[in-house]
Amino acid sequence: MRPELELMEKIEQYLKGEMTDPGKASFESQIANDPALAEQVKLQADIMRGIERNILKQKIQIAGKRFRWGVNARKWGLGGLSVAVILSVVFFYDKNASHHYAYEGKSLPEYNEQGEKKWADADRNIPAQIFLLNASKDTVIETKGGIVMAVPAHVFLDENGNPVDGRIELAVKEALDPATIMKAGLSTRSGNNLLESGGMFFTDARKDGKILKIDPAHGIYAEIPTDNNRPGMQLFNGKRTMSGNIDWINPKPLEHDLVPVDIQMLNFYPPHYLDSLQQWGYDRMNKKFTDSLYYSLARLFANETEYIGPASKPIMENEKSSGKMSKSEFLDKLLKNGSSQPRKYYSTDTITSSADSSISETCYGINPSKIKAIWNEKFQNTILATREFEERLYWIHVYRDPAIFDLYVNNLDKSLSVIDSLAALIWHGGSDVYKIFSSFASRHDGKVQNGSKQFEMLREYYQNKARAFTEAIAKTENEFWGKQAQLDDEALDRRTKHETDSINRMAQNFREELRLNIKEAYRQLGYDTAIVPRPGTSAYRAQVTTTGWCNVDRYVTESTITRTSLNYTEPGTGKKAIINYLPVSVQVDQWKQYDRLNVYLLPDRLTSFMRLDGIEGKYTEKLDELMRYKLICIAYKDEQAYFYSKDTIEAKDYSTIILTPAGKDELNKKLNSAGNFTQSSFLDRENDFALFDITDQKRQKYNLGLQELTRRATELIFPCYSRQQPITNTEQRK
Amino acid sequence: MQDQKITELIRTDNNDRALVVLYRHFPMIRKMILSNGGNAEDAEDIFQETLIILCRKVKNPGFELTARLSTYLFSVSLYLWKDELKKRKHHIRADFETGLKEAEEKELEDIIEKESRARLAEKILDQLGDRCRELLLLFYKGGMKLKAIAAYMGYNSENTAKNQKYKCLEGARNRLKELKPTTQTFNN
Repeated sequence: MRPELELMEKIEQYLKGEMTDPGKASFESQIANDPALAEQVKLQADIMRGIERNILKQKIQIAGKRFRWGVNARKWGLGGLSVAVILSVVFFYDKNASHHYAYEGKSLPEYNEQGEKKWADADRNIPAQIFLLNASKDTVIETKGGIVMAVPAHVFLDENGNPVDGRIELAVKEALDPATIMKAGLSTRSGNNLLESGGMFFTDARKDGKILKIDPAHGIYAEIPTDNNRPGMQLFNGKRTMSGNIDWINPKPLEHDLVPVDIQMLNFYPPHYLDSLQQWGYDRMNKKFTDSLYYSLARLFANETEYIGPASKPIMENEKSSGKMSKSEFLDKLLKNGSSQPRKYYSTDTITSSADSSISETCYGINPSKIKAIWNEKFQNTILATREFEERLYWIHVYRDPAIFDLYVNNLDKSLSVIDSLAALIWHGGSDVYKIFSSFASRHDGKVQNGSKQFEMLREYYQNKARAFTEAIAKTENEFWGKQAQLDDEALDRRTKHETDSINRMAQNFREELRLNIKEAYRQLGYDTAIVPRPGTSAYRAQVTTTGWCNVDRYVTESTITRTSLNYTEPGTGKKAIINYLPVSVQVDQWKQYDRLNVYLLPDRLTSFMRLDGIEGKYTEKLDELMRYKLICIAYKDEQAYFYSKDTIEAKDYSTIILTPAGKDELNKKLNSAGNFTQSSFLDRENDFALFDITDQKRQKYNLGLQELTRRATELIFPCYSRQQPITNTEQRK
Repeated sequence: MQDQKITELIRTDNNDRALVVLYRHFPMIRKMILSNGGNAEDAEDIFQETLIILCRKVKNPGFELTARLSTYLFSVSLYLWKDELKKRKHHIRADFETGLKEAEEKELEDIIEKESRARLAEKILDQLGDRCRELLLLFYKGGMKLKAIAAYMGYNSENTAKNQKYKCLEGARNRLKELKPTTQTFNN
């Protein structure tokens, strides 16, 4: 191995403490004799410290971020989420057709939709309704009779099987009621069987007169209005017969009814919410708790009224009388309000995090208030109270699309599969959402038989409540955290004051004790004790350069700082000054059972008390023999105080100090008579703080737990919000 | 969390959780620094430095907790801030008590000196380039063997990794030799 590599390894071993003793000693002597090597070692040590520092710093910054998250969590109303959702559906109903179309009124083109010259009586008797569509766009149409068709983009294929673009005509003929059916000369026969008809319709699409086919992989979704939804209805294809009739063949099942369940039994939470709570050690079965946590996150949406508003209106207004135009008016309105461009497609993984105004475009989520607004008794016996909706909601949560959610809630009178198709249309054809909701649509899930019919009322309830809940939740949360912030401030004041007091108390104790010791040393040496120099505030750092009295002072100062005995012999005279510091220790019995345990010494010659440091119930100190000390122990378990006092303690080990319970007044009385007047009042203050601190710690612990839980839940449910957590003004860094 | 548990976490290299808990003391220290002529940025710098010092101290074999952690953090922050004010030659008077004994202050001076060199080393590490930085981090802090590092970072052999590591260290050492710590600790 190259010698420099070897040396480097050796240095590393040495610095990591991996060297064995003899090797270490010899290496150390090498270092001592070789300045170049010493420098190498020093530099290497610096670099290793630098690496450690780098990692430590990162962790500290993460801790700081977590801390600020907690602070921010109380300052709601960050420019968080906002989204205006427009359901962009393009709708044309060509009322005043000025072109020449393949179908016009009752007139027919030469060839039928099959490319044959065969027409049935019904074809001639029922006038066509012409819809002009842009084949490249998703479109919803509604016929005069109320059939709603959802036409996906590129669903029409030309003769070569390629999807067509641009303007196409879609002709629809319908016969929905028995009178029209009979007048049109339509039969209700399938072979020799008589059918009960729920309505008949015909569609044919053309582009520039050429026949188009429907892409069988996607299909057009149609909903036919009916007054009485009978089970077992099926869709038949019509086949024109030689006699001008239509025979109905190839029956396919229609959508099926939904069975409502108790809405409270369903899980409307976002995916993994309950699992995560369980994993974090919470009770997933406690719905009161799981609800309150989830709903509390509604505050994230508090500033975003447009977010909660009716993002998508019901698909159809109840204006059957004006029939053909009602929806176009509605859609016009939608288009005027928003962009006429198709909606921007997004997927969850493109959600970006940035602190500027573009947040509103990229951060999505379902406001928990919206869930709260539907997850209640009011929505029992609606399409929402079904396992089928629960399944869809799962995916709505996954894709965090409030528009889809609103679609379902605002269209309680529709079949689930109608809404599924429309939900799919919100997204572009290739997207996962499209696929998922299209596959839902293909299940033909219908409605709840005899379900709640108060659609309007429920819709209104939903819209009002979603907003009201958000406001109420935000208000409650703000009030709670506002109050907590205020309490935090007060606690902070008290704590800072307490720490400063402690520091000042220690400094004062030191000065007084030093003065006492110097005076005694002078006395022993026979100096004039009337002129004891008063130690200044910077006593810790006294610079002593002269001999004589100052020399004594230096030894006394050192002995007082280190609390070790002074044994000074004056060089000239041989006179001695001796002040002993003698060790004492106090072992508190049952120390583990207390939440807090403070052991104090009250020296009779000092104004204040000394608080002892201890470990595992054992407290040690060294006593200045010039003073008499009183021992006081105060402990707390919850708010119950325990007390012990002993008037004059000796320098020895007290092995089992047993504290006894004391009531609040009793304790006060004991503290008041504990030492001299100032000591008592200091102790009183100390005890006041301890009491305050116990309750405040509890409060803070609870809040921290709550914040941590909220942080985790937010991260889980609204990860993009978590990622966008900006640093607040007060914490703003470079 | 009890002080002892916190120090135990730091000692056993589980300081992530400990640091989160310790950060709760930040407001007190920020308040103190704001009322003694500092700004929010100073406060955070000082506090973070205090945390680093605490972690370093706790990791020392002979460490024993003699005061409450809150008091310790408070005192060390006060000391650091006092020190910083002096270095900046501010006219702000730094006559507050830190509550530290002389020996503790001595020890702190020593740590501060070491940290200022470590800070330089840290800066140099950043300038070394990502590959070097990653290699050194993996080796010294990740505790990875050179063989594993070679495989992980796509070096041909353990020896190549070793040479590479040497080169990186050599570069860092040379740069470190040239640089002298500036007196002002923060904001540079």
